[in-house]
Amino acid sequence: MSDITLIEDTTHGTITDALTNSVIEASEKCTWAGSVWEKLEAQGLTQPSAIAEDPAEAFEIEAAIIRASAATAVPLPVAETALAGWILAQHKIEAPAGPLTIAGLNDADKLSYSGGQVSGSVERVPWGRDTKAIVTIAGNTLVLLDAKAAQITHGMNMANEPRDTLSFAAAKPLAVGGTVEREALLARGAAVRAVQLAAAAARVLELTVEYAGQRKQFGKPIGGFQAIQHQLAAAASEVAAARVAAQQAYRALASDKNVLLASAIAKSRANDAAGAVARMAHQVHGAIGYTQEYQLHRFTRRIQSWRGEFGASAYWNRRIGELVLADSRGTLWEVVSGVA
Amino acid sequence: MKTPNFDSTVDPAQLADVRAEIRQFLRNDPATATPHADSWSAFDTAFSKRLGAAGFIGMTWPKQYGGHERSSLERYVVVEELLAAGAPAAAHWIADRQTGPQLLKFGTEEQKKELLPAIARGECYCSIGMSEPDSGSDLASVRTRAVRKGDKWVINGRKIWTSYAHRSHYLLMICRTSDDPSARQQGLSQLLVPLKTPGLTIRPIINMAGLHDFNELLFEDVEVPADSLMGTEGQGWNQVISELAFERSGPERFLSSFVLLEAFAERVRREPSAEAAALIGSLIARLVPLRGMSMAIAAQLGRGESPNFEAALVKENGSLFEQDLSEKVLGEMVPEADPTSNDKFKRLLAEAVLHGPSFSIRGGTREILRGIIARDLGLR
Repeated sequence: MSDITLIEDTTHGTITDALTNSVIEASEKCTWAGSVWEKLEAQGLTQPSAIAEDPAEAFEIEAAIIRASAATAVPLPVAETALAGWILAQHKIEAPAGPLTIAGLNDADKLSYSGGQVSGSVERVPWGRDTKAIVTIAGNTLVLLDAKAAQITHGMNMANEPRDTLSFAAAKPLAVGGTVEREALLARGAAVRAVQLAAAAARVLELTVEYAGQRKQFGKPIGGFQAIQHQLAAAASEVAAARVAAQQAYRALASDKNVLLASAIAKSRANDAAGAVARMAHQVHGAIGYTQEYQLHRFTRRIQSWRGEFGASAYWNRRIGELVLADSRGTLWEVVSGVA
Repeated sequence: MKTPNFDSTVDPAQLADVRAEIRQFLRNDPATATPHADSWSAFDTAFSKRLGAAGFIGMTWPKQYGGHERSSLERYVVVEELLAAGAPAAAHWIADRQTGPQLLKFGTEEQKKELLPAIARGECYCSIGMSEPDSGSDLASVRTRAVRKGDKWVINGRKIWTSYAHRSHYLLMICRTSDDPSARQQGLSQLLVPLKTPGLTIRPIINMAGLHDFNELLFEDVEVPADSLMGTEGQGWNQVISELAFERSGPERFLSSFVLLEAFAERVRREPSAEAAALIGSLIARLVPLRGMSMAIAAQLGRGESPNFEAALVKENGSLFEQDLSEKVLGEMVPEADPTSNDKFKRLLAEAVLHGPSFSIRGGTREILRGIIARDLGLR
């Protein structure tokens, strides 16, 4: 077993041990799942960059932890904290302890930075109310803001995960980094969400295959019917494509080649694949899959929420098109064959 | 439930040399001036001979049989570059991909010495004899029979959908060699038959694109020597299955129409359109992961593994992509697809649309592939 598999399994096990039904129920009302967070933090699983030996390994560890978090639908900003920690490290800023988040990448977000102070508001901030600090862009400068300095308006996504509006009035950042390009951060987040979407879709497929093997109608398991088998087969090929697309984005990150393109491709592909898998899963499950008591919705509600975050498919498809058409190498094939 | 493994990685730097070699060859070759959609259906013996002379056929085979002892990933690069360029690669395609490797495994020393160097030179071509008029997806029901008489096999029956049998030299066919009805799959064997053998009649079947690719083959007391048996008598089914990972996971399962996408991009660069750019983006977003899946399989095949589940997933995904490509580009255009047009884009659009239905039929129908995937998911 490789170290990476070990980390993925450990993260998975830590979460499933701590994520009791009562914690899940409370999280549906946006109650912070502190008991699970503390277990993860105690094992160093909330800051992947800190436990890696080199930058390339950091990406593998990050992806493994994020896969486990999505495969368990843990109601915590595991992915956001890892992402924020990585960005801070890029800017030589030490990550504060505790949950972190990232904000300011929506079109409507506007934060100004002048005289050492940040003003304005950012929307749909993941776990804004629960995090210690926020990584965001003010003007075109990367800043780390203290959550205590924000005025917070609650909101949530379709999976009842907090998505809050944070307003700052002349807030002094905890730390200030260099200049950043908005789309580069968006793409970095897109790669993270692609990993989550692929892992959640894989779990959804697993649940559906299991259910189709148990549920009997017309005297046999419904998985014995070709109409069901073919839907599941098509879904399996979507799951595989999403996983590979996410891997390609992380390979691009590790080699620092084609990062924007590979991340854009990963998000577009994972968005569409996970959406198709979710639809298939609900169809195969029938009415039970549509209930609170059965767990399928914990994954499919997250999938539907994540598809829109860090760029929906329409945005990334247009950007991929623009990027490949404008590529100076002149042909699509030169671009396509350059992505590992 | 099995989980497919696509985790093998390929270092592009290791393949840079062979990519540069084949690109240089293709840039200088006259055949690539007229690219073809579904280029592995375009039969051009002169092109195959030039490709063979340059060392790009039989790449992984031992040098003693005319091969070049290069890695399976190097071969993969050559194959994908041929497809991306729309090069007319049909003549040698089957011999290079399937028949040659089967000969290496199962052929007699004499057969290997006679056929493999000629295949590698791009001079000897092969066809696949699997489907019959009453045996398509249900391949194990084949009825064409070979009976052993002294030092000969005597073959009677029919094969159909046999691509380029009228221009190939050999047919690697599957036929029934045992009568035991309880062992449908065990009663099958593979035979290598010269297509000029007396008693073998080849009739053309024209496809909907107007091309003569398919044939129907009639065997009437066709006699071939005993050593025409490939591998083990009664093991034909397993031998055929072992070919399938090669047949189903290759880049021809998603790059057949790539030249159309390239020509579409050229056009959009001249006449920019936001909708067309987004369409190209959505297609690239499907193509790049597919290629990643296919290359991961190529790495596994190179290590001697049999990733049949993974190959089925690639073909399922790839044929959907190939069909969507021409379908969606067609949906974007005013009606101007024209098989006879001098405009490359208009001609390729027509070719890709007209060849489209075959993508999810050849090499195992979509339904058969989904059945295989369902079995590996534990549903059958």
